[in-house]
Amino acid sequence: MVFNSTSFLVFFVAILGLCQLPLSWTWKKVILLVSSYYFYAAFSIAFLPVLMFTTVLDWFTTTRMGRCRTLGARRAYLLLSLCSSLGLLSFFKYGNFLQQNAVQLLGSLGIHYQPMLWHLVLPAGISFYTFQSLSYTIDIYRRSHPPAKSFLDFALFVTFFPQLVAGPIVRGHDFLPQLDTPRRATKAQFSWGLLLLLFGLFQKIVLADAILAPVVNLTYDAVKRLSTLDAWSGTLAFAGQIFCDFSGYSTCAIGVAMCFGFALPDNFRHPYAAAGFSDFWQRWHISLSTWLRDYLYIPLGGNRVSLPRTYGNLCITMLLGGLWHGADWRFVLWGGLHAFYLCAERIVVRLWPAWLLPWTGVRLVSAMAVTFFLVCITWVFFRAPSFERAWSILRSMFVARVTKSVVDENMFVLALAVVAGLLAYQWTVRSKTSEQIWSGLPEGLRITCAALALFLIFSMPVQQQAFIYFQF
Amino acid sequence: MRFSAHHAPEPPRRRFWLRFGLVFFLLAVPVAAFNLAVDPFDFRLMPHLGLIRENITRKNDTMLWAAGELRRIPRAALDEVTLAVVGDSRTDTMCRWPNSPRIFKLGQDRVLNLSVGGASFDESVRLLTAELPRLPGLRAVLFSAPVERVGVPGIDRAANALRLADWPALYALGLGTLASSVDMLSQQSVGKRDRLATAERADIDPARLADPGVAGLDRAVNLARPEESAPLPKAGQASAAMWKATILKIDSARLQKRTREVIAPLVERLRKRGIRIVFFFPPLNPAVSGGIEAKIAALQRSYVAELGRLAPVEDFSLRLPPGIPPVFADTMHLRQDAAHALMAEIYWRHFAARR
Repeated sequence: MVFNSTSFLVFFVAILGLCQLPLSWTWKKVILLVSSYYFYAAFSIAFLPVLMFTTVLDWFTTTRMGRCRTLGARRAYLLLSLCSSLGLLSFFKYGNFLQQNAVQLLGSLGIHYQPMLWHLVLPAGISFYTFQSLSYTIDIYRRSHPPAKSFLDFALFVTFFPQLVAGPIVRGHDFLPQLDTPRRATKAQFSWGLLLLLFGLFQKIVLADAILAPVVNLTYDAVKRLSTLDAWSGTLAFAGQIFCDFSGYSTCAIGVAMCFGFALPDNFRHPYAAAGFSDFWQRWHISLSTWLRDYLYIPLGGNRVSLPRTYGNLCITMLLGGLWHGADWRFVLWGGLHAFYLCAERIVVRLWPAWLLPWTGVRLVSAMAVTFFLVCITWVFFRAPSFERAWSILRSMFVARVTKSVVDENMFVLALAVVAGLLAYQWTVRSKTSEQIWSGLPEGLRITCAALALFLIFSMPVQQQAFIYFQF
Repeated sequence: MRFSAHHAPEPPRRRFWLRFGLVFFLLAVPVAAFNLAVDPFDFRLMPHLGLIRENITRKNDTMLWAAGELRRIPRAALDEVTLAVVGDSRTDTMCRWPNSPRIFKLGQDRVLNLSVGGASFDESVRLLTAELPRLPGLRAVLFSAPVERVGVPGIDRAANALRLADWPALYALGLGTLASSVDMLSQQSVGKRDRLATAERADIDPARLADPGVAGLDRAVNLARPEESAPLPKAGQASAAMWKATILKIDSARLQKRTREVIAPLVERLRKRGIRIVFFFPPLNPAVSGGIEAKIAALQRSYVAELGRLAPVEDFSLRLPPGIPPVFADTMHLRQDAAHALMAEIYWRHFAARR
């Protein structure tokens, strides 16, 4: 069940209705928990036990951890939780990958080993809920936050349906306190939640699926070598598609949660208006980048160690961040490129002479343009179905080549107009929140925008339905 | 989108939502009224205005056109369907009869033609999966699965077409429908209209309105052999070039992966419902496949072995059954009479005897 489906609409209205019944807060939480499990089962009922197992095990280990008096005992429970959660994640997500690489490695050593292929299917949202649950376990281990008051609260924290399958990755200290008191959306929250849901669906259905995805698919899945124009248009369209797809999902999730009176954290802050890569990672998939920062980069020493070690920490964090996205060397390379950019940026910032292009509007726009350009290069590895295809597309991008276009002219113009509009929008409002932008618009324009968005949602042809980040 | 999670802006006044509804209504109603009146894909939600459609809008979106045709089939007729044929335009040629483009009788079976021109393999799978619940009596499926269809994922127009077929309101509101409506109306000029009308009339031959049945197919076997040095027909040369480029890019690993990920689950799903599936590769025009037969044969060797583990496979790509000469209408498609004869041959081999 995805946000852009009729079944979700029915589900959402039904749960909203149930939460309006004159029941105690505990019963309403039970309704939310059961509906979250139902939501997950609609994706894949076979993997519901995996989600339940993670929930129960992490509840058990954190409860025990809370009672332990010695650090050693706490550490043992932490290890148990880490091993089981990461073990499950590794098995389902990286099992095939590790098996194939082991076979290849042995083959290169002259040992021909042909094991039975596992053909594992990835449980929906496992990367997201595993990280969410892990963050809670580590926080309890560190005693930086109080534990959940009941199993019901903890289970709802792990499985709350708006963010269960593709984030944002919520932290215990953000969400659990919201379960202490009955939640009921105010009029302002409910209206804003509905509008966020509307604009999230607009991003996903109209921009990502109907306008940008066809250009991306035609170029990246084409069998022949692309012209330079096609290679660039496909890559720019993918930059727009992945943003609109993922940001659309996050916006829907935050809007739906807000309709129930819950606040979820930001996941995107106009990322293509980033002036540099540190800035980019404070704007793109914020819930993952802050997770990696707090639970991997800082524990490794962060930037409070020697310069080479700082660079090493950055590389480890970004490579693992890349691997988190998928079990493929292309994602590792994608993470590696971002690590390289981050290290290079630090070096450039350290060595940049103050007199050369001071921090003015020109430098800001240049930095944003260069960052966007370099980010687009990394997207080639993220989207291309193989390394071979990625190199072919990069070659077409940088070695002028003119052939018949694989993309229809109208489609091409529309997709590039959307990407240009997206960039212009993000660069213009780069430090504003959506509430500020929305509040600053005249009412007539707001009404027209919202009605037009709804009309386009219904009238655009749908090309694909699954959110890109579901595969992670 | 950036927003502050903990603060919502001031709630809009009640009239915001009223005006919102009014603006939406003003946008939607003219589009819906226009689309319903013109009805470019023949969904027949309103009385017809006597416009010519088929030869104009079918090519705009063959999948949506097919969805419209399927939508018009009465429930009772679908209940009787026992065999479904799934594939692209090459398979469609084998099953298309002028009087009934989607359902026909063959031997003791009522056959549903789920073939759509230009359909990718994934589209075909999606279409079959969507139609399965409406086919309670389905016992067997003939599925076209040549290497170039399976090896490349291709586009997916089926999701949109099926969505519009299920929700006629979305069909009425659709901007794609609107574009086809405008295109269709712009081609209704007097001269063109007469030409199109003549073409449509020619398609519907009253003498062939009876069910083709096996007798009709048998008659089709009396085919003239083509001249040995028949030149490559001009029609469809672009498709042939694309087909060749696609074949050259496909490798066995990709075919194996697709067989495992797409075909095996489909076979399993059908098996659970007690439905037999037979895969077949449609014939290739020797004038097109010439020069790359070795590549095709090499690709097919492991692929047929893997596919054969799942279900029976009939490979007509490089060799037609005896009695059916390779007479092609263009670069890719068998001539209609030969295509019908091939359908009869497959039917007798795999389906008729098993009833």
